[in-house]
Amino acid sequence: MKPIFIKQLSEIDPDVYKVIVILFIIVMVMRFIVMILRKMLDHKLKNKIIDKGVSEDLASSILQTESNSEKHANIKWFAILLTTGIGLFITDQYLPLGIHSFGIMAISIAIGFLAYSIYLKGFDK
Amino acid sequence: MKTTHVSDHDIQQFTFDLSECEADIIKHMHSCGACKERAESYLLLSNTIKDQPEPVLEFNLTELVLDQLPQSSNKESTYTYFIYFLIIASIGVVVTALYLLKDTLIHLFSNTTTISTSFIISVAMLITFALSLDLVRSFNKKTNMLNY
Repeated sequence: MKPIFIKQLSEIDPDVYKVIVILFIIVMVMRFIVMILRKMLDHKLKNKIIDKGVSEDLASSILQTESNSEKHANIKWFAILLTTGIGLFITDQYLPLGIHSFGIMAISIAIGFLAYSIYLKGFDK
Repeated sequence: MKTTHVSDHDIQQFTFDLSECEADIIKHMHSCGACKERAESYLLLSNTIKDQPEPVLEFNLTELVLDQLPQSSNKESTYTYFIYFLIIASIGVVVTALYLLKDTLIHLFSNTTTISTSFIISVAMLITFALSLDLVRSFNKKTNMLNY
């Protein structure tokens, strides 16, 4: 039998593995930072709820808001990934990399978050 | 000036909240003996109620409540130590792995150009910054809900 897959795998550039590992490390670090911040803010919020001695209804409505924001997480990631992808595509059109590449990425990510913010405001109304 | 007697509500307002009382009522109260007498009886009643001693429970409520609270068991403290052990063990594993793979990790970034590495890192930082801002915005919104 012809070993198609082995031949194809051997042709993959070793730099691809490196890029995958680099991206994995960066994503892990990003996630760690965001998780730490989230835990800290949650802890602060829960302490405030206890200190203020708010009613059970208000406390549950605030916690309900927390779970509602999780519903929008997929839209948020859609906006981030779409605009990052578009930014990378535009950057690819204007190689080599330079200061302009950073600008393109910053603008595209900002547009993504602006779109997400507009979506949230529309949803609140 | 009012010629008829004022209502109970007006007498109470005159007795306990003179600043909110109308001028007509004040004039009537100073001239009418019957209304003045009723105002004095309200004041007496109020002072008598204030002088009443505060009710005190015949048993020690604090002690009874404290007795009802569940005591922390040894099982829970063992569980806490186990969690600490797991945390320390996982940190140890990560540090050991980083130490053993340090040459590989350094080599990982050696072939990539500085500009491309900083490009990837800056994109990641931008996304992290935006996500953090989103978290802080959400936190502020919830804090505002608490204040109102």
